[in-house]
Amino acid sequence: MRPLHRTLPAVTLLVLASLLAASCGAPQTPPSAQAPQASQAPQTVRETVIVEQTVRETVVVEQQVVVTPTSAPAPQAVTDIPPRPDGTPAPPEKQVFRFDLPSDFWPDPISLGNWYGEWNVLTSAGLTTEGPDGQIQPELAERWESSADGRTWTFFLKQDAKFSDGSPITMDDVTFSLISFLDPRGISEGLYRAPFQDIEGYQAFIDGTATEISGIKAVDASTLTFTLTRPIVYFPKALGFWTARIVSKKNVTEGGQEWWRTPVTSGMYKVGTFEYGQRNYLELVPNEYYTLGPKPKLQKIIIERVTDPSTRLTRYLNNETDALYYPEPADVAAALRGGELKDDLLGNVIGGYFFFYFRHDRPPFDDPKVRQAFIMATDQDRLARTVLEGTLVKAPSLMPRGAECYPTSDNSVPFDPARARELLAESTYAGQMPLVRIQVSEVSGIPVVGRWTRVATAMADMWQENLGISVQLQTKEFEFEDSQDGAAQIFRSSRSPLVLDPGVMTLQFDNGKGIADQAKYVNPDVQQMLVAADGEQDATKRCEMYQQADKTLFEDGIVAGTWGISNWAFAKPYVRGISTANRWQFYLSMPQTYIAEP
Amino acid sequence: MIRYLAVRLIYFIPMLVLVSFFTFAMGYYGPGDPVRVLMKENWNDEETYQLLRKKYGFDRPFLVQYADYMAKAAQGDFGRSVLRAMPVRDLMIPALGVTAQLGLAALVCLSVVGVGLGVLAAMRQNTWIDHTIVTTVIVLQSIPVFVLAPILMMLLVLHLRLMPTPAGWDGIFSTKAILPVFLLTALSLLIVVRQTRESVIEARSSDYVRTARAKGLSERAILLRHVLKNAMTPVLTTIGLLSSWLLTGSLFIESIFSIPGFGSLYFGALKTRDYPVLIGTTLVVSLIVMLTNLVVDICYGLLDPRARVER
Repeated sequence: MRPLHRTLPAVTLLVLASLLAASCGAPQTPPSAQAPQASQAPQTVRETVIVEQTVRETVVVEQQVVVTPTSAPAPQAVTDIPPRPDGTPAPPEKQVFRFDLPSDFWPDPISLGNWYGEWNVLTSAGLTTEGPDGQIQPELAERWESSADGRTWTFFLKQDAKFSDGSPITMDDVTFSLISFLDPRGISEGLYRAPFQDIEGYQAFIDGTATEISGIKAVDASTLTFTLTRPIVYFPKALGFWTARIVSKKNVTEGGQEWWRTPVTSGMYKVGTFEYGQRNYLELVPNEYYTLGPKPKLQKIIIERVTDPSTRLTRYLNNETDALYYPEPADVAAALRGGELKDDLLGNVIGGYFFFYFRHDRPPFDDPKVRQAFIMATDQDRLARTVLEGTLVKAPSLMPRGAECYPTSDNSVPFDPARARELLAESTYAGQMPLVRIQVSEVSGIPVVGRWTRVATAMADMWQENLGISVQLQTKEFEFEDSQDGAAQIFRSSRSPLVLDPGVMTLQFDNGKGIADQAKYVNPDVQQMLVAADGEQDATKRCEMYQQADKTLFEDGIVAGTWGISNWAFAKPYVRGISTANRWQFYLSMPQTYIAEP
Repeated sequence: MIRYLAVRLIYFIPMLVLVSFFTFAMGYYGPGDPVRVLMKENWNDEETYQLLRKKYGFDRPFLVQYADYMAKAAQGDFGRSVLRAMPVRDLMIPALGVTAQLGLAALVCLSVVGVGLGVLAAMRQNTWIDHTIVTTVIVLQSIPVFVLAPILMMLLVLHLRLMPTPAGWDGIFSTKAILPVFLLTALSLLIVVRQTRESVIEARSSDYVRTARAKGLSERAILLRHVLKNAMTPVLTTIGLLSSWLLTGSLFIESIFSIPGFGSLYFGALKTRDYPVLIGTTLVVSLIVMLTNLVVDICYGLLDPRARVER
């Protein structure tokens, strides 16, 4: 018999290993820990990834990537998860809805430092708002109308509106809120002011040559006009954005820089409890003075800050929360494959998109034929199915999904490697291709090998295979870092729609703005088409113009690959009426959401 | 002794200035930009960028910004967080309190468990007890905390149903604190156990212990009166040095368990390049490290008269 002291360390190790194994096993294994139910054996692909760690130093990392063929059923192009059937509502005391946010949050709808602040649509009213179907609805404004030339918009405000402290919402509160939101120097950073830059006098206000925005005028106590420098048909939709919300002037001015610690709200909920500091905890309860829309069914919404994704998932699995906001893509992929949380999954493709764009001013992408060749050599559908595991889909348009004019067919450039090779041979860089670098920054900011690095690696492989061009991959913490060294020509980025309207393309692709500025893309024809479409009153003509601009943008090769952002979330099956809308997770469906009896 | 203390404290000033200067310079000249981070996907809106840089004072020359910051920091004003809408001081004070509670709890556990296990391993040298203790602490130390923490959390919460998910902070006496304190202790246990074990083994083989044994003293008396007293000096130094790490917070543990301590404050600021917070936390951490080193030196002198003579 072996002496005990020799075997015990091994036994200890075994026990520890068993504990580790047990914690990963059934029955409560989170989806991310589950092995994929693959119908085919995994293939091991050996590949070389060149990772530029610093600006000057390039290291070659050889890694093995296990590519698991899609499981049964194979990931589909993401379709919208159908709405849940109605149930019997639980009594009011059980109408409590809990979820975690991954970062700090505070009840300030007009500050954009508030990264996960979209929930402020629950506590603050806008002149207009959006329904879960993406349609614009009146909120504080009873109605609105435009002048014949489409340059002046008049909003008529409801007279009986009140804040959560019972005080009336006045025109002074409305203008104060809008100007605070539009002024980057003020209490709000005003980062999403792009849709409002066409208000007359706004530039002079920003430049400091005017103290007021001349285009915003309170005609009387209930009439507000906006005069624009050009006709914009979608302007009322811009006022439904979650930062263009109404706050109490008295509350903000008397509350100082941290007025939001004791906020007075204008929306359907008011703040019951709020802690910020050691703990970030918020309880929302119905605002009894809210008359601008339907009364909410949920009697309490509890939000807590939990930064770690595995901790958020554990809390959800342990029934400490009722919904999981922004789940990890691996957990969504597992649910899509029919994993444990498949019945909890909510989601649809929303109006935003992830994309890779070319720098049009940097060789070889100053040649449109090279851009087209790279796009045609990229099988975006395959990338969506494999590397992205069906959690995103190839975007057929640069218009926001859910908006009017969204195409029923695919406006993007098709995958055609043979034509790609022809175009490359016809280009000015045939046979003398400079070094191509693709820069990836992951969403979190920390340079980890996340899904976009994997997508970029796969894209580089496709270009190697289809065009014979080797592409260097460099990772940076932030997308903007390249502006300091100017080495890369292809970048990853993302956009969420500021306005759920095709007019958002003007904000993104008009010369010198948004993505066009990042890509250094200039096409006066597109600019003219987009501006004309923004002011076109005839809906059919308007859509035709946006469609044409959309196709031209793809043909001009502004993006190397585009995938529609999916709005994934998990919610317990007893949560009914909930849905992810075209934007802002499940917040827009909150007025209809309730807890059903088991 | 007073002169020695005064000299050490005066040395703190240039050291803090150096630390702050390098931190500030790295933030100023290094990659990343809090304003661009704040702007998220609108980072290329140059007009807004310039307005925000002016608003936060980042458009001023390096030395002007640095001098201004240090002048205010000397009065306890560490600026305002760019991304968290609060003065840095108001973020740091509660965070320090949380981390100090966690760190002190871990320090107590570390002293009791680490020293206890180390003494036990030494007393039972080369037996199964010794091997088990050493192997266990090596295994605990070897598994990265970002692996061990989620695994233990799932095990205790989802499988054994022993506790609610330890997320957030409800005070040191809450069940939420058990796992973070255990992990903080486990991460440093190996150092304390091995140091204690080596010191006790060395002390037990020394001449004075042999003499005590020859005089007929019981093993218990020898351990308490002679071995531990002499073996504890290096152990105390080790624990003292570990305390600066424990009191300044663990990035991973605090982040995983959403503990609003100093580690997660620093980590969040690092990710977003929130310079006012980064510089403020760095200065405070530097000060804590210097102070704990000073306390260790003083304690060392009290325990070992030879150290006092050398000074």
